[in-house]
Amino acid sequence: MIKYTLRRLFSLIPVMFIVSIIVFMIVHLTPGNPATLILGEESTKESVAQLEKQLGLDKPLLVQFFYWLKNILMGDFGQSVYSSEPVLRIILNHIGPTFSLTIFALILILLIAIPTAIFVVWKRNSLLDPLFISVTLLGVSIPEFWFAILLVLGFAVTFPIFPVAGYAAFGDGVLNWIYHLFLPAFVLAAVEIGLVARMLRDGMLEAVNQDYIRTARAKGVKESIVLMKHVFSNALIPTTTVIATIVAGLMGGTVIIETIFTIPGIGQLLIDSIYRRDYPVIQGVILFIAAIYVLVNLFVDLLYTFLDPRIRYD
Amino acid sequence: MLEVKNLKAYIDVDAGVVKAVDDVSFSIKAGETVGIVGESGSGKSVLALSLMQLNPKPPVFYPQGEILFEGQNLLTMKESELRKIRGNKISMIFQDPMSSLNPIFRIEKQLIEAIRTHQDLSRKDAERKAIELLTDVGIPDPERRMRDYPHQFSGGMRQRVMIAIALACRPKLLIADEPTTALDVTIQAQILELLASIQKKYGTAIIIITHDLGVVAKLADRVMVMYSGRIVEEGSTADIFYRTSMPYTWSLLRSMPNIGSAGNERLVPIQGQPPNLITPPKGCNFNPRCLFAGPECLEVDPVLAERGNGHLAACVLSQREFNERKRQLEAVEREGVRG
Ligand SMILES: Nc1ncnc2c1ncn2[C@@H]1O[C@H](COP(=O)(O)OP(=O)(O)O)[C@@H](O)[C@H]1O
Ligand SMILES: [Mg+2]
Repeated sequence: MIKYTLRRLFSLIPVMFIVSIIVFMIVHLTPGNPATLILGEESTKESVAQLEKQLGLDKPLLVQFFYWLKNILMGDFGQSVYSSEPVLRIILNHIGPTFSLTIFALILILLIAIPTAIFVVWKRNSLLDPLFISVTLLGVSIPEFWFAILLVLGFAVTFPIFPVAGYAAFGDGVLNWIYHLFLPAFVLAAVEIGLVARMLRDGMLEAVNQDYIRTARAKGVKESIVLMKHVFSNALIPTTTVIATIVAGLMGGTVIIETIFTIPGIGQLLIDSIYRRDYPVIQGVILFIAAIYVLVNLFVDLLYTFLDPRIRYD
Repeated sequence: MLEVKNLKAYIDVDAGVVKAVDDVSFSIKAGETVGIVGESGSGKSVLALSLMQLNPKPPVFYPQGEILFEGQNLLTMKESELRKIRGNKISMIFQDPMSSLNPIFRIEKQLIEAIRTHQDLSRKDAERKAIELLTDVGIPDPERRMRDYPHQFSGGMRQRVMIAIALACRPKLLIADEPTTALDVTIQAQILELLASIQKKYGTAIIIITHDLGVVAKLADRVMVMYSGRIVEEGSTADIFYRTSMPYTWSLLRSMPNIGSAGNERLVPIQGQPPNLITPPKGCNFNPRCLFAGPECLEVDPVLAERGNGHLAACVLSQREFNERKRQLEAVEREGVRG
């Protein structure tokens, strides 16, 4: 297992290398001189030249790349051209809100999707199942921005239960944290609950007719325990990948929701730095998002060995 | 101990109603081993699952009958009461040991679940009991093997684990539905020996369901032959093998190797297909395939009738007529082979 983990970690190196080439090229594939783009059309020749020097743009491309890569490997992602702050610090400052939102949304997704799926499978021969299918279909087709605005109107404006926007860190009190994150997390969760519940239901309906479930019933085990213990844990395996994809997506920052609710997360940062043509920050954020995806995937592969003992990598 | 009276188990399907078990009556005494034989699709599994009340409802329903276990009717019993019987007083093992164990739980967990569902034991005691059970069914090094997952066992070993699970509460009745069908021949023999030794040791009544008469010959005191959802012949194992009383049983015997007489006989497969259980043939269900069928068989649906001392058969032919026709047919066939 440790050997496999190490091997997988090593295999991330070429992946991240290719990603870094692409990220590096962003600056150079955008038409026009990056320094001019950053400074604007009316900038003087001198200031453009100075910025080019600061960004290293006056050197050959290959030299620039390895120089850039070397710095990143040493933890130096460059400086924001907008605020002159180190890119790494800026990103770290924005992880908190996005991470909070991710955790909150994930908890909501699991808390609602799991019992719903179990209940639907329990009542699988009733009209509940077709109803469930329609509702989940409706759920996954809700436009996020529309639903967000609807909730804000309903629960922040008409009935001011929650704030219209804003963010409070976990450290400023759990209740305050929940108070600010509930609506955005709920919107993020809402579009995914249907998907996760549907995956779980499909998996459970497949497992429920397996021979080993009949064995469990033949032991005299209660149907509710059969469903929750035997059926559910087998259905969880195929659903894990879906949940992981959702987590990776949320961790990469959710531009629309973070913008609507003015949550200073990764998505917000990405949008802002694109407006400011702050290339070092854009590059840093994209590298960060790529790393998240790769790491979440690795984590899921490792998680599988715990969920399914038949999977052995060594 | 177990008495089944006029049981019907029908299945609702798109094409109609499958009469999988159609008016079946029999009884099982404590400690006896009874075989149920019949071709695949004759309703053996549906009957077995009826005894556990484990047929999926829907599509299966029971329009008629009683299943009396220790005097109580399982058909009208509440689910919570049934659960106290399942795995406790009546246990069941299945055809495919590969898929009958939960792939993601350790053997230990699955055994302990069987024990603790019915017995108020601490985890430690249940663990000790689990080791005993595994030893009992012949699994070497049970303390260690208990921590393994099903996929780490061979087919025969998994069936032993299934038997251990079934025996966890010392049931009065063990239903084994084709327990050796999925296994290699040598392993089959070992599993059958194990079942026989359990029967001897604990006096558990066993219903052994199979399409293989050889299995029945080895294990059963009494045999019921099933055809298209009905019992068509019933008697002691000797009755069935040496005093066969109706054409289906006879055809079944002729289609299988190594039993009955010397073993130098030709195998004669049963011609035709098992009948459609949604719209069975008019008259006797076996008439389209029966070598002895006469005009009467297209009209009369025979019921089980006494052929002497607990030996029952469902055929319009009397024992004498049947023996006579059988002799004629065998003589003709011998001529055919020679000429
Ligand atoms: N769940 C089910 N749904 C529909 N038909 C079924 C179901 N279970 C059994 N049957 C049908 O019932 C008949 C008897 O099946 P079964 O008892 O499994 O036969 P056996 O065990 O003797 O091979 C078959 O025709 C089979 O197709
Ligand atoms: Mg069967």
